[in-house]
Amino acid sequence: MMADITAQSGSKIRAFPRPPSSFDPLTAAAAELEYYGFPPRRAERCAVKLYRRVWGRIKDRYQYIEPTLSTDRSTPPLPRTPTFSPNNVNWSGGVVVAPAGQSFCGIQAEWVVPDVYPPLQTQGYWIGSWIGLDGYIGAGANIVLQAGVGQDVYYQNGSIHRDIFPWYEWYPDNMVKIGGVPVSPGDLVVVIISTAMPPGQSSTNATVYFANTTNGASMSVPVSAPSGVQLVGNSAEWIVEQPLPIPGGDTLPDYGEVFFADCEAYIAGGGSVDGGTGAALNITAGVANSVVSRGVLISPTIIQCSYSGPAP
Amino acid sequence: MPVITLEDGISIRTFSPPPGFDPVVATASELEQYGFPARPNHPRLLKLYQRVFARLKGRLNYIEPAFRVIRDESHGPPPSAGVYTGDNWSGGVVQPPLGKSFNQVMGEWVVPNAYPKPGEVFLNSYWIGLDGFIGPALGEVLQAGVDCFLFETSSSLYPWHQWAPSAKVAISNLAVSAGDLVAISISAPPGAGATTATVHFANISSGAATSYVISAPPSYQLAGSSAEWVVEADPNHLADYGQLFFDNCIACAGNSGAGGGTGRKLDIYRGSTPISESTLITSQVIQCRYSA
Repeated sequence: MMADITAQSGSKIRAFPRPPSSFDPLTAAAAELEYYGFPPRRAERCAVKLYRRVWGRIKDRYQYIEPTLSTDRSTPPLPRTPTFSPNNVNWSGGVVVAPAGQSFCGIQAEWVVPDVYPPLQTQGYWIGSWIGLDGYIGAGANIVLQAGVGQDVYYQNGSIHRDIFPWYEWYPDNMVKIGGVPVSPGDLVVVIISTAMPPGQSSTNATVYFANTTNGASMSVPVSAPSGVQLVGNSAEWIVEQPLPIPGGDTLPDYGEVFFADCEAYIAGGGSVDGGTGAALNITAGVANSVVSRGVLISPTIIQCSYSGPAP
Repeated sequence: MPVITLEDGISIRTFSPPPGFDPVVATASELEQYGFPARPNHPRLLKLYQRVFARLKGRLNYIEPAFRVIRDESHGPPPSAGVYTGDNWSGGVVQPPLGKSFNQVMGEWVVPNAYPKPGEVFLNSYWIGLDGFIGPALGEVLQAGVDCFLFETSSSLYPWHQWAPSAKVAISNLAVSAGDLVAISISAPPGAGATTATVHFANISSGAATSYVISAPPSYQLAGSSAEWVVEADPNHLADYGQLFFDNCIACAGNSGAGGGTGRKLDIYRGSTPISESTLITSQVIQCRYSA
């Protein structure tokens, strides 16, 4: 009973059916959760805690959104491979690497969407806040499965225009914009990416779950890997990303700060790694490599990204 | 240096710094002349001060503030008088070292969004302050922050200060939106006994900032006996604010500082259920979460 969605790019995506209004993910059977596209209720304590908190809070205003999907960025997907140093080009935040012989099959976090202003009328601004798997190191370095919030901010006819939307991307495929889910600055969003990847194997399917816990809007979308690509799961990351420096392109605004909370990466076969226990990443710019956006591992499960620029 | 006089004899001194005024390089007397808080000597505090002002350089939009006394929120629950009743504050509170008093408090946070619900009234206050928690000065609180008032289908966010028991005073011409990062400093040298305080409020996201000097309520003076970073609400009128991180939480006593996360945490309860819970994450970071 899944609905077919045709993305603007022409690729077909099969959406999950709308759950009945009486549906309670805290008590539903595992098969029901899967059928309706809800993230599995994992056994790890941190997963149970987040699940309970999210659902306990939003159940009186929960609204399931059937997403509309579009790939409307005219630019081709850009390489997202950071350099292997604490200071890299376009990522700031935190990253953990899977324990030897194991791989990550899922990731979670929640964060408050920052408000951003365009200081210049003639400049476009972009910020992406997201969580993801792979993209950092080793066999997974050239792919990324990621989901989060994008914000395009610019002046249009003299007034500030803000386009805020959830999105996902399984690089090297294009970014897919998720329409129909209202997100405003100051809203607390939860993102969970889950796969059914067994230990020692890889996966070509994932579910991206997105909830705006402030207004109750929630949705889930099944995601397929680009052809020839599979999830490796050797890194997990919580990131504020700036646009790649292209002449005439968008730039990172002063976004204030973003705290990723409840940062966990799940290990195929069970167990988890706290997101704040790995490496911090900074966005740097200019000849002096001054820090524009700083990642700080605040606690084992909290990662702060803080604007500190602009580039000199 | 105009003096604005409001109801109840509340008077506020405002200033007109010249365009391009840069508090990072201004002399001490210029800072005083233009109503800015003095640049702290303590290296960590100085770094924080520079962080705010260096960042706003080039897009600092200095607001000459206008004010409005908030006697009570129309149609709303009783205004938060800033008095700790044991169930209306959540966040962190610290006390000065023995024999000292606090003379300054600083903090910054991203203002969370919250949605109104037809038929309901909510008032969430997010603020930092001195006094009000313990000691000889109960009923006296020096505080500044942002209020979120939700009534039926409307919502409003505004910055304010209050030196209780005088009334709460909103800054009526400095806009704050959900998702904005705001930074506040309240300084009242020398600490205990102070009868004037400089309030500095910056919306780092938009670049709007102001600074002004307020006076203690008649016959009151600062005790400097506590510093706090607080999400405050009547437990029956707390809106779901998601979560809020108070960051760079520092209180100063003389030349020493105390991190806001080094004291005790406070939660708001409805009956026996915590509905706003705080966690002292680090010495300078306090997390508050809606948990009803």
